[in-house]
Amino acid sequence: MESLVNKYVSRTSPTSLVIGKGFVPNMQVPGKVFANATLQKLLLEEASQLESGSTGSFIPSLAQVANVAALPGIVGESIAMPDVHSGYGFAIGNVAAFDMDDPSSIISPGGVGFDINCGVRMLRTNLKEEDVRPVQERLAQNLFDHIPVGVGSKSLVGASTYSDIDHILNYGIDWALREGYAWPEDKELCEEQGRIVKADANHVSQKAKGRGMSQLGTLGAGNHYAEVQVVEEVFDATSAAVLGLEKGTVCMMIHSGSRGLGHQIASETVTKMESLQEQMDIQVNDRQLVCARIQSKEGEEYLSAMNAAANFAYANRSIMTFLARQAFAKTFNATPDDLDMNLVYDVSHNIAKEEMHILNGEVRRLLVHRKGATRAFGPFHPLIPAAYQTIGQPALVGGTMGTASYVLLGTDEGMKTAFGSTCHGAGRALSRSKSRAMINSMDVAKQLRNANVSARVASSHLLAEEAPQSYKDVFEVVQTCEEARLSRAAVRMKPVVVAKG
Amino acid sequence: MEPDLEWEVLGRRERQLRRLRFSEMVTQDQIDVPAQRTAELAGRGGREVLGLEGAEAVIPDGHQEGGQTSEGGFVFEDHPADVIIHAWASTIEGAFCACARGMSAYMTDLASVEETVSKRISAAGTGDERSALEGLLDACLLRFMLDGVVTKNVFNLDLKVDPKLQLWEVSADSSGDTFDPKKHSQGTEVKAITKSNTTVVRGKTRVDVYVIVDI
Repeated sequence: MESLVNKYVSRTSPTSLVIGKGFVPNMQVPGKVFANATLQKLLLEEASQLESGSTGSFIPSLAQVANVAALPGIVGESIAMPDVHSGYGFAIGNVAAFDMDDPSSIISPGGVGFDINCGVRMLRTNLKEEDVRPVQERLAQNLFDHIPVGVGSKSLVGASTYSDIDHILNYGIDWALREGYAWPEDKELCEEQGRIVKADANHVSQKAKGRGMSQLGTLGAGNHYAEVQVVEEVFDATSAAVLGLEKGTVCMMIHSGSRGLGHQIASETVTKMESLQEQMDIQVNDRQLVCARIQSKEGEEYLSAMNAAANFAYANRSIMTFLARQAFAKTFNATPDDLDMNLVYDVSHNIAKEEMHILNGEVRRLLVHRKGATRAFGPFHPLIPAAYQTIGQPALVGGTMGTASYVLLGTDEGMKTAFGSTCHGAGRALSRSKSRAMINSMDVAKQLRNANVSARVASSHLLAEEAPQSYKDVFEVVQTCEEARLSRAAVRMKPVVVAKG
Repeated sequence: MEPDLEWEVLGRRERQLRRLRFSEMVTQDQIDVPAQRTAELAGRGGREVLGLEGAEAVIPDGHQEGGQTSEGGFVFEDHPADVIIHAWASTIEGAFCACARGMSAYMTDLASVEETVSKRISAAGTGDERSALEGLLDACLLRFMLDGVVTKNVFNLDLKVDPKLQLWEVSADSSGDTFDPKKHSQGTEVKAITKSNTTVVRGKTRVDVYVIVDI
């Protein structure tokens, strides 16, 4: 691996590396990794840890980015964000676009991820830090009680029949609006307005629907969280004002996705596509990159099932928003309306979307896979809400438990260099096993207390697995995105309350 | 689009009604969790309340790091984002059973799981023995996700693989308990079997299997 890296990987700027053709067989386009020197070191460490093909091992992210560059129909470059790390098929943090008018182009479940439309939603309030500090323990407990988290957590509200689930899969946030779980203005402030029209519940299995039924409105486990935050620093006062944020504003982030429903769709699709790989005659460098032609029956079915799962995720985050609004209402003895608990934005960071991009001076219809990457369109893009036209699309970047989160804004430069994409978080630096071996849960608990963060977790070892030390430095990641002009920072938030599964 | 889903135009009155309905729900019991449930959640095993008792509070472990029985064993190994379950036994059937047990052990401590519910589980599909292992784990995971039953033991496993036709069938007896957070500690939820680099290694005296699960 080291000799390959030396031969084919070169630094082209302080913030980017290029993976030349030849790093892996059949590369159609080069690979590009946005990484400064510090993040590059982590990438190379990951690559040196393992030999591809060893028992039960995984493929380093550099090789995964290159393998994606070898997929049929890919255009531009196979791009990796600064928070990239090894994943399933595609690396987490990989962005790849495929020409939808090229019959050879593919769609891959590995390029979307198992948790379809895993994403982040941010709410703001009219509260200030001094309003929350005296009641932060109570608020933490209320959030933990209202939002079901952890293993075996069941939905408190939502769908009770397959007909309900079908509506959710087809209509997304519109279902939540109809049922009174969402506010009308929430819809405008979601990517895709909270509903992808090209979705079809008929392409989702009963098993997947069953898993969704019991988990709608639940947070899940792992790196998902509900976090109350305070705006700590404003980098651009004008943009922050447009977002309704200023220093000291109390806001909230909810990080979750399509739960078991999305995972089931991904699982079933991988199995189905794998059995058809030979007859579809698609050559891939890695079994995990199982895929189908976009224009094939299998490709179209996965696309509509994926869109349905994305709609489920919008409804899921809407219900948790409803529950969070209730928790705040209970804590502050005021209605969510009185607290101005409006949505700032809702972004997806695990999805493939049909988009128009300018490539070599031509407008092209592309299917952009973003896995562990956030869409960040520049100012005046028609798909940005009217309120944010002048500032660019907000990209919500969650830090790690107890560290800062950011609101970034899309740029014109990012449209040209990364199909309008930016990072999605800090990105893991240590494996979960290593985290548990090296980090003591009690130390993390003390660390959080010392930072004046009230934490509620359903599982103790999660404290070690999700400790800040287990992740890359979110500041390095955000700074690299800013220096590469993929996005620019509007505000930084610090956590006050964290609830995790 | 269905008429009741057309939200493009919302009259002021309609909007007020929505808001009213919304704020009324603050006092509904199923949403506004009663005080006794708060106390119950705070005290139940595996659902610790950091900050209320302070960081010195004893935090119960959510799952075990590995397990060994006379039939075989399992351990969790390194992966950047997910978890590798490495299981082994003297036979391939035993290794499959140990792997299923390992998956459950990642979600809860199996010592607290009684064997009150049993069921014959089965799966079939195309592929080789690796696909069969993934199919078995999928069946156990669905048992948990759909029926709420955490599998403690898998035994009497019957495995058929046709390498020529690339077809497999697997069935086994499973026993476990309905998951109850008051009784069972919370580990980390396994969400899917990734089908990523699943490996079966046949040695002279034992069979080792490796599966990456998505969490």
